[in-house]
Amino acid sequence: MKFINDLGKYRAIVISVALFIFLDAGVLVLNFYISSQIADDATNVNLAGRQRMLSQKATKALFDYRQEYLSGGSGEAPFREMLAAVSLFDKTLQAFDQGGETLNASGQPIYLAAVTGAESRATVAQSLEIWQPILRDFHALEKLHADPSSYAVFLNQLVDSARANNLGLLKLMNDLTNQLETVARNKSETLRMIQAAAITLAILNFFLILFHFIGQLRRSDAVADEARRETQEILSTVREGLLLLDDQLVIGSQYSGSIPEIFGEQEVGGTSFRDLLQSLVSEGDMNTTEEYIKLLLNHEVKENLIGSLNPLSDVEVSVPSRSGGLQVKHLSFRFNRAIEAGRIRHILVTVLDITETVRLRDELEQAQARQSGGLQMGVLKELLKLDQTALAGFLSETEGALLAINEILREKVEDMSGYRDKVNGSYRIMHKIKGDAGTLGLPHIVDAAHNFEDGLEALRNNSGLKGGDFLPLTLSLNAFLELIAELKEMVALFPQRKAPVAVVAPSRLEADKIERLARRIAQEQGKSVELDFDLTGQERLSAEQLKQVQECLIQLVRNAVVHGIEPEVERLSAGKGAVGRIAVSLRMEEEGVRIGVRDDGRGIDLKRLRDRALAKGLYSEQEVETLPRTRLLSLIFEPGFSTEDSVHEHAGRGVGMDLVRAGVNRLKGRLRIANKARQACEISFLIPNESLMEPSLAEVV
Amino acid sequence: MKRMMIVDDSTVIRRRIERTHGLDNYVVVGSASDGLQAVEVARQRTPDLITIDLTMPNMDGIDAIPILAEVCPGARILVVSALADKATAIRALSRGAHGFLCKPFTDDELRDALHELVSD
Repeated sequence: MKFINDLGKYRAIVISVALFIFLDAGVLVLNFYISSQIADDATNVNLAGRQRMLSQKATKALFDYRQEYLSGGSGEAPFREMLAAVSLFDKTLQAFDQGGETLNASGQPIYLAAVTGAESRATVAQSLEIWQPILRDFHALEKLHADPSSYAVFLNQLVDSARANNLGLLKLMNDLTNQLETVARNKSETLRMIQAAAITLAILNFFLILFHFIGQLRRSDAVADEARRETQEILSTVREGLLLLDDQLVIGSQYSGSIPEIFGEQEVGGTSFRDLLQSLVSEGDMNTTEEYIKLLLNHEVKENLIGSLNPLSDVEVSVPSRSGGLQVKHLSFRFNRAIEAGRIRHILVTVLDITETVRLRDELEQAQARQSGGLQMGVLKELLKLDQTALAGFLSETEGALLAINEILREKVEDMSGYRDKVNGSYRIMHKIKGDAGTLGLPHIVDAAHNFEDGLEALRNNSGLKGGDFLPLTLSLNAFLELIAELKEMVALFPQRKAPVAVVAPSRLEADKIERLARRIAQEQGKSVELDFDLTGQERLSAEQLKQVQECLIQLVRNAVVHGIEPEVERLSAGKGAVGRIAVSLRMEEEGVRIGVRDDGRGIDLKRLRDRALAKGLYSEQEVETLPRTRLLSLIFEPGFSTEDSVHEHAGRGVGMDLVRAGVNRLKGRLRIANKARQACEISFLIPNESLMEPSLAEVV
Repeated sequence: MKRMMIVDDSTVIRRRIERTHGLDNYVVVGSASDGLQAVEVARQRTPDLITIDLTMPNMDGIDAIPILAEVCPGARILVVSALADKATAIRALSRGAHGFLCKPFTDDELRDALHELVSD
């Protein structure tokens, strides 16, 4: 049963065929059996017919014999003929009655089964009743043959008896023949009926199978047609462009209806993807795309791990428009593997028209840029006309002043007079900025300051001030600060700098060189610095070591000026002197020579370090929170790590501090950072005694 | 245990990948801070899995990848790099790498990428 159930949709057809075979086999066996019976019946009918003849033959021979005997002849021939007929008749009659052997027409022995059927049996029994006494008389005659006295009398009696029974026996044998014929005819009839029935059934079964098959075919055709229609419907309605590429980058014949619309080409099936894109993307992009598709066709490469490399995720193209002109569109292509039976057969390309999305994104960005006071060409022109040094000074000062306003706004106040003080304090500072900007000829900054003053003016006239009323001011202050930061960035890019000259190995540290550099950078950044040198330990260093130390010091001092020392205004509002102090030292300690650069600037902001480490992906969020202080501080020596968000000449490029680490490694030194937030920072390294020269030797060098 | 090698010029990134790779049956058998060193280490330790940065001193990832693929045939190679230039990254991959992970990445992204890389 399980097997039948497992056949599924083929069950009906298997059952039908099995039935067909069973039916045919059954009919064949029956046919064979009945046919053999009919053959037997035919023999019976023949032999029964022969009994008629034999009975007459025996009687006739008896008459002939008596004639010859009475006329004095021997009668030998008729007598023998009579005995043969009697013997064969008796044998055959016994065989009909009991079953047994007799001779067939050609004299061969043949076995007969006893006749069945009540009528036939009665006929045979009746025949035997008549035949038995006659047979006895024949046997008696045969015995009396030698005794002529009574023989003639007995012969006459036998002839009389034969004459009397002859017709009866003939009739009985004729009846038997007819009865056996009827039996045979009936069997033939049955056989014909069975054959007819079987053929009818077979034909019926055949039609059943045929209809079943045709029905199934029609149903599956209907399903396939429906599926095709649905696929067509999907392809014609879907907004995305869908097409398949083979490994030669040839486009398949089925693609979505939006493809012609997107590309402005009517027939793309069978053409090359390269041709389709040729006029739309650059040769370089096309080559990259081709390489990217080849990566996708390589089953070794993980599809999920290369999605971010898709070179056509956002491309700007010009395509023919319906009106006949050219239309600029933004298209986003996606490439996916189409896998069949475990093999990458095709690449499914999905094309989305993202023009509208891009337009909205751009608008949003522009709006944000406007809000944050993005640099305009007009401002740039203003800047270019100005004296760079004066401008740099003004920008640093302004930045400091704006930060000071920020501090004022952030101060916590309790009462109305506190709010008034905030407004007035901010106003005074902003007014000075406006005045300075006016003197320098920077109308854009004058405008920004003026707008801010307007905001303050509105608060000044507000009798019920609350903390929340200052929020718009904070926002526009941030925008102002960003504008100044951007301007500073621009200014830093203006001067043309020469490439650094190769450093000749000095036999002593060149303190004046370091100092000049520090002053120059400070001036460019609008800061002022003072350097102190204590280089008492340098006698113990070789020329090579001194060269390394000099390079490290340059980087460390540069770092101190750019990142450590604050602009003057900020220093002043933090209660520090206007001039930043940097101490460069090279002193003997017990374990070796310690070389350090200390500044009294803002120190390293650990929070910014954490943010940066997170943004760079160096650590996960939880790790960053629990990172030990020393590990966090040591991040500033990582290549490419910089807390400066923007890139300008002196910092933010991420090289510099990693050079220090490389140099210290070459000197076999150990780095140390001492950091005090908002107050000071010292970065130093120790060159151990074993790496130093003996004092006497040092004298010679 | 299968063998893993990490190639990156940042010590912190190397340590981070080693700590958080999350592949139970992999052990880090070597690391290198540039392409030349990577080839040397790979020759000695024949790793089954390599993560490699693209921009490095001495020999960068693009040049190192085909050599590494040659030295350790069958090794799975994951490029872990900031996505500055897609064409360069694609070229690196077509020279014998199997996947790309963009810096910066989260722990989960790293684990997912490595898992995907070693799955069949």
